[in-house]
Amino acid sequence: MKARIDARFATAKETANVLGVPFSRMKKLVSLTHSTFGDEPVARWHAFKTQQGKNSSKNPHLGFVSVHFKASDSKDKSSSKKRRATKKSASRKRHARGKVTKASR
Amino acid sequence: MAKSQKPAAEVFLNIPYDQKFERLFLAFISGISAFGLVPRATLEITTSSRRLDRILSLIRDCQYSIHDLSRVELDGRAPRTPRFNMPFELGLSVAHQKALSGKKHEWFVCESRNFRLSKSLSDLNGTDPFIHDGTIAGLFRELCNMFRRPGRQPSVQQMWSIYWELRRNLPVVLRQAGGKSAYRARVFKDLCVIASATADKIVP
Repeated sequence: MKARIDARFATAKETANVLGVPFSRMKKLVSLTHSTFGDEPVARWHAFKTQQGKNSSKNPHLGFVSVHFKASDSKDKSSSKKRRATKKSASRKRHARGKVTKASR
Repeated sequence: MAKSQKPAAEVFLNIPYDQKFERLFLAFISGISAFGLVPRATLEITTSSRRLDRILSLIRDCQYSIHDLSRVELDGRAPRTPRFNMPFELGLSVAHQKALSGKKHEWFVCESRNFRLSKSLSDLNGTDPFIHDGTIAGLFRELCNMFRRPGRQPSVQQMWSIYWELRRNLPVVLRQAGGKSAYRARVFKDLCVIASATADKIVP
């Protein structure tokens, strides 16, 4: 049988109190989460992320994860590949520049 | 939603402290915090007082306890021995629950494999362990089977969000604590605060 929780939902402040974490430290730790979640209304933020997750992944449980982490990784990888593909060697650049100057003459 | 008058409930976390278990350690903190509960563990014990007394006092403070008996195998270091700490602390919790008259304490047993508990700890026959298969998804599923919070029930997806938030912040927390292991009092406390702050934001 499931245990029914009647107690209050623990806030960061309460958790810090129970565990003996100083208030100043608690504030710093909470600010670490602010960098991800910002001050958007929670429900809207979660709905937005969930929707994004559904679009990018077949697994609904991993939807958010894929948005949050994998997406950025793959973006980095693909952009670096693109850069590598479009990157010209110094000699080729010089060669191309030479052709342009000749053509302009 | 009206706030209940009872203070936040605490959960005694009885788990193995090894590198292989770190993912599940973070998952336990995430899942428990998602339910608005405060995780407690013997990791907090840093004072020179007798360890057993501090463990007993921790169990007494907690309304719930979760005991993971999935690491029953022999460890790698010589002399090779099984871990007795976790079954021992489970025994303490059971005894504490039986001794209580008015206050309540509920305990749960987790395992990674089906039917193993009936062999390793047959005294618990008749108690259904929560089988998490040694996976984070399995653990979140089983936490949802353990607890029910009317009005603010977290989803497995929200637990995953908290888990990834912890993972993201773990290097920062470790760096600030000057250590490499997550099984340190300061790291554990910091992670609990981060998980709690995240849960309070994303579990509507």
